[in-house]
Amino acid sequence: MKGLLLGLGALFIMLVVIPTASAKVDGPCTAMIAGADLMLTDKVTVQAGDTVDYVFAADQPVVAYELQLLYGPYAATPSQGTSESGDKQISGTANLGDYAWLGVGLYEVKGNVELADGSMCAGSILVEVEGNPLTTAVGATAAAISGASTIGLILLFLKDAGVLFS
Amino acid sequence: MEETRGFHFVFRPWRILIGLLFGVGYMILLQQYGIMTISVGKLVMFGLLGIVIGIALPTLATLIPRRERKRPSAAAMPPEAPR
Repeated sequence: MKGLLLGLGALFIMLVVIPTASAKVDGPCTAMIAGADLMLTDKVTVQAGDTVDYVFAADQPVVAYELQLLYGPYAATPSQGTSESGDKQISGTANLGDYAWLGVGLYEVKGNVELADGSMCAGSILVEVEGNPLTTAVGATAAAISGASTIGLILLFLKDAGVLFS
Repeated sequence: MEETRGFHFVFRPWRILIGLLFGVGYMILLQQYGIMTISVGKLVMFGLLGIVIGIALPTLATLIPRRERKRPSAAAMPPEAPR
Protein backbone atom coordinates (compact mmCIF):
# COMPACT_ATOMS: atom_id res chain seq x y z
CA MET A 1 0.00 0.00 0.00
CA LYS A 2 2.84 2.38 0.91
CA GLY A 3 4.66 1.56 -2.34
CA LEU A 4 1.49 2.19 -4.36
CA LEU A 5 0.99 5.57 -2.71
CA LEU A 6 4.63 6.54 -3.32
CA GLY A 7 4.35 5.50 -6.96
CA LEU A 8 1.15 7.47 -7.43
CA GLY A 9 2.77 10.49 -5.78
CA ALA A 10 5.81 10.31 -8.07
CA LEU A 11 3.61 9.98 -11.19
CA PHE A 12 1.46 12.89 -10.01
CA ILE A 13 4.51 15.13 -9.60
CA MET A 14 5.86 14.09 -13.01
CA LEU A 15 2.56 14.79 -14.76
CA VAL A 16 1.85 18.11 -13.05
CA VAL A 17 5.30 19.65 -12.63
CA ILE A 18 6.86 18.59 -15.94
CA PRO A 19 5.35 20.63 -18.81
CA THR A 20 3.29 18.51 -21.20
CA ALA A 21 3.98 20.27 -24.45
CA SER A 22 6.89 22.47 -25.28
CA ALA A 23 6.51 24.18 -28.63
CA LYS A 24 8.34 22.55 -31.51
CA VAL A 25 7.90 21.71 -35.17
CA ASP A 26 8.64 18.28 -36.55
CA GLY A 27 9.30 18.36 -40.30
CA PRO A 28 10.55 20.80 -42.96
CA CYS A 29 8.22 23.69 -42.03
CA THR A 30 8.02 26.84 -40.02
CA ALA A 31 4.85 27.69 -38.13
CA MET A 32 3.49 30.70 -36.30
CA ILE A 33 0.39 30.61 -34.12
CA ALA A 34 -1.00 33.79 -32.53
CA GLY A 35 2.13 35.62 -33.64
CA ALA A 36 4.48 33.20 -31.90
CA ASP A 37 7.10 31.14 -33.70
CA LEU A 38 6.62 27.54 -32.61
CA MET A 39 10.37 26.93 -32.72
CA LEU A 40 11.03 29.73 -30.22
CA THR A 41 7.99 30.12 -28.00
CA ASP A 42 6.32 27.58 -25.69
CA LYS A 43 3.20 29.51 -24.72
CA VAL A 44 1.05 32.36 -25.96
CA THR A 45 -1.74 34.19 -24.17
CA VAL A 46 -5.02 35.25 -25.79
CA GLN A 47 -8.21 36.78 -24.45
CA ALA A 48 -11.38 34.70 -24.30
CA GLY A 49 -13.28 35.06 -27.58
CA ASP A 50 -10.23 36.24 -29.52
CA THR A 51 -9.31 34.87 -32.92
CA VAL A 52 -5.93 33.19 -33.39
CA ASP A 53 -3.90 33.83 -36.55
CA TYR A 54 -1.71 31.08 -37.95
CA VAL A 55 0.91 30.83 -40.71
CA PHE A 56 2.48 27.61 -42.01
CA ALA A 57 5.38 27.86 -44.48
CA ALA A 58 7.61 25.29 -46.18
CA ASP A 59 9.93 24.93 -49.16
CA GLN A 60 7.34 22.65 -50.81
CA PRO A 61 3.75 23.61 -51.75
CA VAL A 62 1.26 23.04 -48.93
CA VAL A 63 -1.59 20.72 -50.00
CA ALA A 64 -3.47 20.28 -46.70
CA TYR A 65 -3.45 21.79 -43.23
CA GLU A 66 -5.29 21.39 -39.96
CA LEU A 67 -5.33 23.25 -36.64
CA GLN A 68 -6.50 21.27 -33.61
CA LEU A 69 -7.43 22.30 -30.07
CA LEU A 70 -6.73 19.43 -27.66
CA TYR A 71 -8.75 18.97 -24.47
CA GLY A 72 -8.03 15.64 -22.77
CA PRO A 73 -9.22 12.82 -25.01
CA TYR A 74 -11.11 15.26 -27.25
CA ALA A 75 -9.75 17.27 -30.17
CA ALA A 76 -11.66 20.12 -31.79
CA THR A 77 -10.66 21.39 -35.23
CA PRO A 78 -11.07 25.20 -35.40
CA SER A 79 -9.54 25.35 -38.89
CA GLN A 80 -8.62 22.97 -41.69
CA GLY A 81 -8.46 22.94 -45.46
CA THR A 82 -6.73 21.91 -48.66
CA SER A 83 -4.83 23.95 -51.23
CA GLU A 84 -4.24 23.32 -54.93
CA SER A 85 -2.70 26.72 -55.66
CA GLY A 86 0.87 25.54 -55.13
CA ASP A 87 1.48 28.16 -52.45
CA LYS A 88 4.32 27.42 -50.10
CA GLN A 89 2.63 29.36 -47.32
CA ILE A 90 -0.82 28.99 -45.81
CA SER A 91 -2.29 31.50 -43.40
CA GLY A 92 -5.65 31.92 -41.78
CA THR A 93 -7.59 32.69 -38.62
CA ALA A 94 -9.13 30.29 -36.13
CA ASN A 95 -12.00 31.52 -34.02
CA LEU A 96 -11.49 30.20 -30.51
CA GLY A 97 -14.72 31.93 -29.52
CA ASP A 98 -16.57 29.04 -31.18
CA TYR A 99 -15.13 26.84 -28.45
CA ALA A 100 -15.96 29.16 -25.55
CA TRP A 101 -18.00 26.41 -23.88
CA LEU A 102 -14.68 24.79 -22.99
CA GLY A 103 -14.04 27.73 -20.72
CA VAL A 104 -10.71 29.44 -20.22
CA GLY A 105 -7.32 28.16 -19.12
CA LEU A 106 -4.47 26.30 -20.74
CA TYR A 107 -4.89 24.32 -23.96
CA GLU A 108 -2.57 22.59 -26.38
CA VAL A 109 -3.02 23.77 -29.98
CA LYS A 110 -1.56 21.48 -32.64
CA GLY A 111 -0.95 22.19 -36.32
CA ASN A 112 -0.56 19.50 -38.99
CA VAL A 113 0.58 20.29 -42.54
CA GLU A 114 0.87 17.98 -45.56
CA LEU A 115 3.29 19.02 -48.31
CA ALA A 116 3.21 18.30 -52.05
CA ASP A 117 6.04 15.76 -51.84
CA GLY A 118 4.05 13.76 -49.30
CA SER A 119 6.04 14.82 -46.25
CA MET A 120 4.25 15.97 -43.11
CA CYS A 121 4.89 18.71 -40.56
CA ALA A 122 3.46 18.85 -37.06
CA GLY A 123 3.84 21.48 -34.38
CA SER A 124 2.20 22.33 -31.09
CA ILE A 125 2.07 25.23 -28.67
CA LEU A 126 0.35 25.98 -25.37
CA VAL A 127 -2.36 28.62 -25.59
CA GLU A 128 -3.59 30.25 -22.40
CA VAL A 129 -7.08 31.70 -22.77
CA GLU A 130 -7.43 34.44 -20.16
CA GLY A 131 -10.64 35.02 -18.25
CA ASN A 132 -12.46 34.20 -15.04
CA PRO A 133 -12.99 30.41 -14.86
CA LEU A 134 -15.96 30.79 -12.53
CA THR A 135 -17.96 32.61 -15.20
CA THR A 136 -17.66 29.77 -17.72
CA ALA A 137 -19.80 26.62 -17.79
CA VAL A 138 -16.88 24.20 -17.44
CA GLY A 139 -15.12 26.26 -14.76
CA ALA A 140 -18.23 26.79 -12.65
CA THR A 141 -19.19 23.09 -12.91
CA ALA A 142 -15.68 22.00 -11.92
CA ALA A 143 -15.70 24.42 -8.97
CA ALA A 144 -19.11 23.12 -7.82
CA ILE A 145 -18.03 19.46 -8.13
CA SER A 146 -14.71 20.11 -6.36
CA GLY A 147 -16.37 22.04 -3.53
CA ALA A 148 -19.19 19.53 -3.04
CA SER A 149 -16.89 16.50 -3.12
CA THR A 150 -14.44 18.16 -0.70
CA ILE A 151 -17.23 18.94 1.78
CA GLY A 152 -18.61 15.42 1.29
CA LEU A 153 -15.23 13.81 1.99
CA ILE A 154 -14.71 15.95 5.12
CA LEU A 155 -18.18 15.08 6.44
CA LEU A 156 -17.65 11.37 5.71
CA PHE A 157 -14.25 11.48 7.45
CA LEU A 158 -15.81 13.10 10.52
CA LYS A 159 -18.61 10.51 10.46
CA ASP A 160 -16.10 7.64 10.33
CA ALA A 161 -14.10 9.29 13.09
CA GLY A 162 -17.23 9.32 15.23
CA VAL A 163 -17.30 13.10 15.56
CA LEU A 164 -20.51 13.52 13.56
CA PHE A 165 -23.73 11.49 13.42
CA SER A 166 -22.64 9.21 16.25
CA MET B 1 -14.57 6.22 28.14
CA GLU B 2 -12.04 6.92 25.40
CA GLU B 3 -10.43 4.24 23.29
CA THR B 4 -8.26 4.05 20.17
CA ARG B 5 -9.77 1.80 17.57
CA GLY B 6 -6.45 1.18 15.82
CA PHE B 7 -5.56 1.09 12.16
CA HIS B 8 -7.70 -1.11 9.97
CA PHE B 9 -8.41 -0.89 6.26
CA VAL B 10 -11.91 0.34 5.43
CA PHE B 11 -13.32 -0.07 1.94
CA ARG B 12 -16.54 1.72 1.03
CA PRO B 13 -17.33 1.13 -2.68
CA TRP B 14 -19.51 4.19 -3.23
CA ARG B 15 -16.74 6.46 -2.01
CA ILE B 16 -14.90 5.62 -5.22
CA LEU B 17 -17.41 7.86 -7.02
CA ILE B 18 -16.89 10.77 -4.59
CA GLY B 19 -13.11 10.35 -4.82
CA LEU B 20 -13.28 10.25 -8.61
CA LEU B 21 -15.34 13.46 -8.72
CA PHE B 22 -12.91 15.07 -6.25
CA GLY B 23 -9.85 14.22 -8.39
CA VAL B 24 -11.35 15.09 -11.77
CA GLY B 25 -12.99 18.28 -10.45
CA TYR B 26 -9.70 19.66 -9.15
CA MET B 27 -7.88 18.63 -12.34
CA ILE B 28 -10.31 20.66 -14.47
CA LEU B 29 -9.98 23.61 -12.06
CA LEU B 30 -6.16 23.51 -12.42
CA GLN B 31 -6.59 23.57 -16.21
CA GLN B 32 -9.07 26.42 -16.07
CA TYR B 33 -6.69 28.48 -13.95
CA GLY B 34 -3.91 27.93 -16.53
CA ILE B 35 -1.69 25.75 -14.36
CA MET B 36 -1.68 22.70 -16.64
CA THR B 37 -3.26 21.19 -19.73
CA ILE B 38 -5.52 18.15 -19.67
CA SER B 39 -4.43 14.87 -21.18
CA VAL B 40 -5.69 11.31 -20.98
CA GLY B 41 -2.78 10.38 -18.69
CA LYS B 42 -3.59 13.19 -16.27
CA LEU B 43 -7.28 12.27 -16.35
CA VAL B 44 -6.41 8.73 -15.26
CA MET B 45 -3.85 9.97 -12.71
CA PHE B 46 -6.12 12.48 -10.99
CA GLY B 47 -9.00 10.00 -11.05
CA LEU B 48 -6.85 7.35 -9.35
CA LEU B 49 -5.53 9.89 -6.85
CA GLY B 50 -9.09 10.91 -5.97
CA ILE B 51 -10.12 7.26 -5.56
CA VAL B 52 -7.13 6.62 -3.26
CA ILE B 53 -8.09 9.66 -1.15
CA GLY B 54 -11.72 8.51 -1.03
CA ILE B 55 -10.70 5.05 0.20
CA ALA B 56 -7.89 6.25 2.50
CA LEU B 57 -10.01 8.76 4.45
CA PRO B 58 -12.24 6.20 6.22
CA THR B 59 -9.11 4.19 7.05
CA LEU B 60 -7.40 7.28 8.51
CA ALA B 61 -10.54 8.04 10.48
CA THR B 62 -10.09 4.77 12.37
CA LEU B 63 -6.90 6.18 13.90
CA ILE B 64 -8.79 8.91 15.72
CA PRO B 65 -9.69 8.03 19.31
CA ARG B 66 -13.42 7.62 19.58
CA ARG B 67 -15.44 8.58 22.61
CA GLU B 68 -18.05 5.93 23.18
CA ARG B 69 -21.01 6.49 25.38
CA LYS B 70 -21.55 3.80 27.98
CA ARG B 71 -25.21 2.85 27.96
CA PRO B 72 -26.60 1.81 31.33
CA SER B 73 -28.04 -1.70 31.36
CA ALA B 74 -31.67 -2.23 32.36
CA ALA B 75 -30.62 -3.99 35.56
CA ALA B 76 -28.43 -1.10 36.58
CA MET B 77 -31.16 1.49 36.06
CA PRO B 78 -32.81 2.77 39.20
CA PRO B 79 -36.46 1.69 39.65
CA GLU B 80 -39.09 4.23 38.75
CA ALA B 81 -40.36 6.16 41.70
CA PRO B 82 -44.02 5.37 42.59
CA ARG B 83 -46.44 8.14 41.76
